[in-house]
Amino acid sequence: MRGFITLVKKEYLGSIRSKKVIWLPIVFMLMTLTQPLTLYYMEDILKMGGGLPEGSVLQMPVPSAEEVMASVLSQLNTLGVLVIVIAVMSTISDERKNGSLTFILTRPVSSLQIVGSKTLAEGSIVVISFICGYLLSYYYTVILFSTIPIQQVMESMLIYSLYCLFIVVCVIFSSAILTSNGAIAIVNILFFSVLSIAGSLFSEFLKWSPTELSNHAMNTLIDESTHGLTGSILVTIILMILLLFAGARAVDQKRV
Amino acid sequence: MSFYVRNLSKIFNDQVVVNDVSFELEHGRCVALIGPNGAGKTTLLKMLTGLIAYKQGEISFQKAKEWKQDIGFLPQVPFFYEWMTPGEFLTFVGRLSKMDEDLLSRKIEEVLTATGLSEVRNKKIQGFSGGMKQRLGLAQAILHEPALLFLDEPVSALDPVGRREVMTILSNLKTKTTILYSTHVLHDAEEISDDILLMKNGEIISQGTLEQLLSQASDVFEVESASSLPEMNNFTINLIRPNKAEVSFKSIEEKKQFLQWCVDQDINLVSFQERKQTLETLFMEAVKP
Amino acid sequence: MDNTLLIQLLVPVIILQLILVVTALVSLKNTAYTNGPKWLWVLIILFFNLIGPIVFFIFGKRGRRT
Repeated sequence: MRGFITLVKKEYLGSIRSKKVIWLPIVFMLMTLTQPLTLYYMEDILKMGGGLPEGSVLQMPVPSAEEVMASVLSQLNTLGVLVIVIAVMSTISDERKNGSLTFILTRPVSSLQIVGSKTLAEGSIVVISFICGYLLSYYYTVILFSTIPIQQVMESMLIYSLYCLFIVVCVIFSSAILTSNGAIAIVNILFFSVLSIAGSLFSEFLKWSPTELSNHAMNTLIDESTHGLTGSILVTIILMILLLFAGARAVDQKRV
Repeated sequence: MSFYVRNLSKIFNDQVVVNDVSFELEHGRCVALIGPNGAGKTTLLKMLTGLIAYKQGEISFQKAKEWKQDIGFLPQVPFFYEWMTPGEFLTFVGRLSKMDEDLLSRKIEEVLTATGLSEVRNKKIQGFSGGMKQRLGLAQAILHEPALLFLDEPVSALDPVGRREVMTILSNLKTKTTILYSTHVLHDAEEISDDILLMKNGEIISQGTLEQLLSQASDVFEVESASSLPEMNNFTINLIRPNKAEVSFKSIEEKKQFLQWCVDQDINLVSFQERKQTLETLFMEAVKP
Repeated sequence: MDNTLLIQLLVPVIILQLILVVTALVSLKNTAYTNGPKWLWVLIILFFNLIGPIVFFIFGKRGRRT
């Protein structure tokens, strides 16, 4: 246990020294708050762009506050995934490439502790960053549109946090099996885009897929339907545990 | 307590990198692993430290449950978390090695002093020179007082001063720790090693104590005459100067024949003596194709 | 357009941007070895909103092997 705590502390210290604990939350906040802002000022933006003929009356349906929050999540599905992937991708691969992993592997710690410590540290930083961004965009939405019951916001936030954690676990697993950071980034971005597209095409067949978590998070905001939610959560948690063990195995087999 | 390695082999992509290696490490000995580039020294050390998995063979000390507590390893090119300071790094690895906090802080002082890094203990590693990193690598390897110390080329990257310092540290450790280290610097190996393992093409081709190896009767003799030596086609010779040559004999008969031949040719011999063995001549002899 | 509201809304954005840029510049100053010249990174951090600092944090620093 002391070994695990030592490893977790080292991960946090590394993230503090690399300023990841500062830039990742800020990037999430900037990404999420632009959504309510642009939606609110959409009309003005279009007018300023001068794309509208003189005298034309623009009929823009004003989105509901729930729809605005859902659009925040939908934006995170692309940009957010990208940011998480590049923030986490090098966590194991770089240490193996430059040789610093050697000093951990020749000490009495298990590979599960190594992968677990990285998952805990990176996962918590990513989830807290997401929560910062999500709450800030909630604040903007309340000011610019209308208020939403806090319970709905919290529910969608928890569901989406689990999705963020799942992304982190996937990226850490890829970092354990692949060497090139470029390859890790491409594989993960492709994986998540293909899975979410497939999820929308075969929604019944893939209703328990982890990428459906983001849809569930949006649904809790808009229509409060929870069809398939429990299944998705269970499948995601089981997959995370499997990936954790598989990642540890990969660290063991591909040591140097 | 002695350690042994038996019939250890490793195949990488159909290439035998370590081939049926067996040896023993006696407690408290300093063992030099020498051999040309590509002999498999680094691979062997990585197998011994658990960095490379193996299917064939036996490594005695790896059978203990917490064996990693008892080994220390210095890789050939040590690379650290550049954002850490030596103090932080040693605390980190010491805790991983399950050291007691009090002992750890005492040992950190000790190894930082021994490796001459006390002054920079709170500086970031990112500004360190290669020699400083090498010494920090040595510091982390000896921090937890391991029973077995594996060092991959501990002195090759250092300047003569740094090399001398590291050699002194190693000599002091010899009493407590069993050391196995690979090196290219044969002169240093001769100075502090008790035993030698000579490796070539993945195999240990020669092993023994330094004295044993160096006292092995040489079959090479140095011949010197007052004037230039004539052609000696009947013998395996290596002309060093016109009047000086090394001759190797396959048998005593051949040696007698050679001396007879010298008499017949009326060569004015100045000296004829067994060439003195050094680790270098041994090494050159062994790695000759 | 309600300008005071807009300003109120934009102030947090500007503050966040500022923290990000300053953090990136301080980190650049303390980095001994960067990928590419430092002055180029200063320009990238200053003139590419949001993207510049992120790119620096991820690709800017270089671990040096001796």
